[in-house]
Amino acid sequence: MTTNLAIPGWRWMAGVVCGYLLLLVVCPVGAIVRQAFSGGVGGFFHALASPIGAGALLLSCWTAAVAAVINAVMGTCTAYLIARKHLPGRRVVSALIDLPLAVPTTVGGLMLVLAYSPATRIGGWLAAHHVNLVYSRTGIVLAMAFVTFPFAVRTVEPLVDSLDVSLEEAALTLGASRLRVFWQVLWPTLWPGVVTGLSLCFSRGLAEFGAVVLASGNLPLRTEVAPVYLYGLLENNETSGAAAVSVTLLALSVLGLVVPLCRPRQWWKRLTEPRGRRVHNNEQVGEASV
Amino acid sequence: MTIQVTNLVKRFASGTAALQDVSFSVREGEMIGLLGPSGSGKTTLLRMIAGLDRQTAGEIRIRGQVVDNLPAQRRGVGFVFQNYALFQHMTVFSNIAFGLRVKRLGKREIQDRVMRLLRLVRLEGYEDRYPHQLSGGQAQRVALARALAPEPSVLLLDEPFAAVDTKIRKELRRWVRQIHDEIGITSIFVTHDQEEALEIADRVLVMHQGRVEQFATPQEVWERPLSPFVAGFLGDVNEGAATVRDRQVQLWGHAFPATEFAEGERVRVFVRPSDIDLGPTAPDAVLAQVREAVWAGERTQVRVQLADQSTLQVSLPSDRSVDLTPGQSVSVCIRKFQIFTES
Repeated sequence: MTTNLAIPGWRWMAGVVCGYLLLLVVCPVGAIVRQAFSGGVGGFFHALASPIGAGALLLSCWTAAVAAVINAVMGTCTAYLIARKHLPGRRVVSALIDLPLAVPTTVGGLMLVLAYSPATRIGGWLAAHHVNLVYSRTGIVLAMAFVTFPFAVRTVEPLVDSLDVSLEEAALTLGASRLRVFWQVLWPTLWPGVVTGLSLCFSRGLAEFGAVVLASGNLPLRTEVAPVYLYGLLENNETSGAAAVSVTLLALSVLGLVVPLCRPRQWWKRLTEPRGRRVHNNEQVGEASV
Repeated sequence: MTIQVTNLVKRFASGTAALQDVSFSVREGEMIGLLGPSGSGKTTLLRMIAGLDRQTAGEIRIRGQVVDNLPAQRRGVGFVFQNYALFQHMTVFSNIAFGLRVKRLGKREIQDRVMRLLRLVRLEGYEDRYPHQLSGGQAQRVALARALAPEPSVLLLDEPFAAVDTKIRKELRRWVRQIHDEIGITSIFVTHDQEEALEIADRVLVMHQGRVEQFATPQEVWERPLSPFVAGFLGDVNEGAATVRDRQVQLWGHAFPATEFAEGERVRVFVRPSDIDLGPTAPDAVLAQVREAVWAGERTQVRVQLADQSTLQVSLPSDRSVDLTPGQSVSVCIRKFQIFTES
């Protein structure tokens, strides 16, 4: 450890940082885990096993997953567009993308309701064609997508920026179709960003309360997601049950965040490189971590 | 004719014209150097032949076929980029094989052809390396092999040696010429380095402000430039302006015959430093004073001042036995010159 840091007394500072993390994360997590298991393992699963609770968790999981996948696709397209094409109004588009980060999520939910509820012109027209963008499962996905879209764009954008246009052009002059250019030239560089975006969107979508509570309609067993369900439990003083749902959500979120940290580049290489072609020298080992 | 370009025009959305009415044709197997200052439209022209940019007007034919509506994928043109543009996540082998896999050739055929190309660019044993493990010169050779792999009818190179350091650059360009001769492919390369263009091109196309200034052999472009721009762009040059009087131009103490110009017309005179000779003073000779002499290996660069206070840049072989001490008087003899009208 170097002692020549700009700020003196790093030991002291490390202590402060650890204390801060303890205050913000470790103690609260410990407390909720303790509460969740206050009735033993049986009590923990009892809260999750109720049809409404299990249904809410399952609904949260798949809607967050769908929103994450949609955003990964749309986010990649958007990132490509704003990084590659110097379109007019690019700054405005960029600001619009970050808007969900800036507004309170309840405001986001309210905006969706005011725009697409069946009482409105757009919503009414859509409802006449059997499409309900709010007060439905579609509404949940839409609200989650709204909140998480910035993550999907901003994780991919720097990677598109880092890719020289001439790579795509080189592939084109070699006769490659646009599809092949995407999969063989762009995707190998972009996918770690896309995976990171996907996992952030999933975790963040799973956690979303404000936007979803307004846009979903909250019908138990149909459109009630886990965070809303656990809020209901709290209102009825079922703290242990709420803690159990919370811990499950926490575990799922962490899982979603940890997956891209498992050095995906390495196992991607392992999957795609034919064994016979791998060279075992130092340079090659260095390459794997790039 | 392998490539035929007719009245090509390119205007950008902003209205600026990158190319104005460019026409030329390239014979089978020729190597053409596209020479010009930056912004002269040479890269734009190259990209349009490749199908990477679309022209505003005009026609491009490759081997007789109009390619204006063909996308880059179907023009059968090999392109080598200035920054190599190698696929970083692929090995040298996969980079070169890329165009062959697109063509869905058999595994064995791809293997054979890639190995043959690696031999051609002298990179045998490098097939399992990744681009970041190569030097600039090696990377450019891989890029060349990759462009040649699908056997294109035309090879286009955009400033192919610009990113390589000087010593390797000279070696690389001779060697590219050698490969060109070996496989006989029609090639066009872009450069802003006149030495590069003159050394390896069969013919040089000099461009300036989106127009073709001259299209001729290196020797002709050097000896008989068609425009003041070409005369001034190729190498160092002494330039002076004067008026035609009695079918002569009086400049630098010399009387240049100007029979083909009108009386009283303003003209510009160009003289290369290497076309001027210095000698010991003699009666009837034009005299000048040495101001500065810089020895630069084989040649010595001398600046002399004439009686009318004008100066001339002279390039002499260093073994010439003339006293070049500053302040020394010498005689000046201009052996070759070019005169153009002012406009």
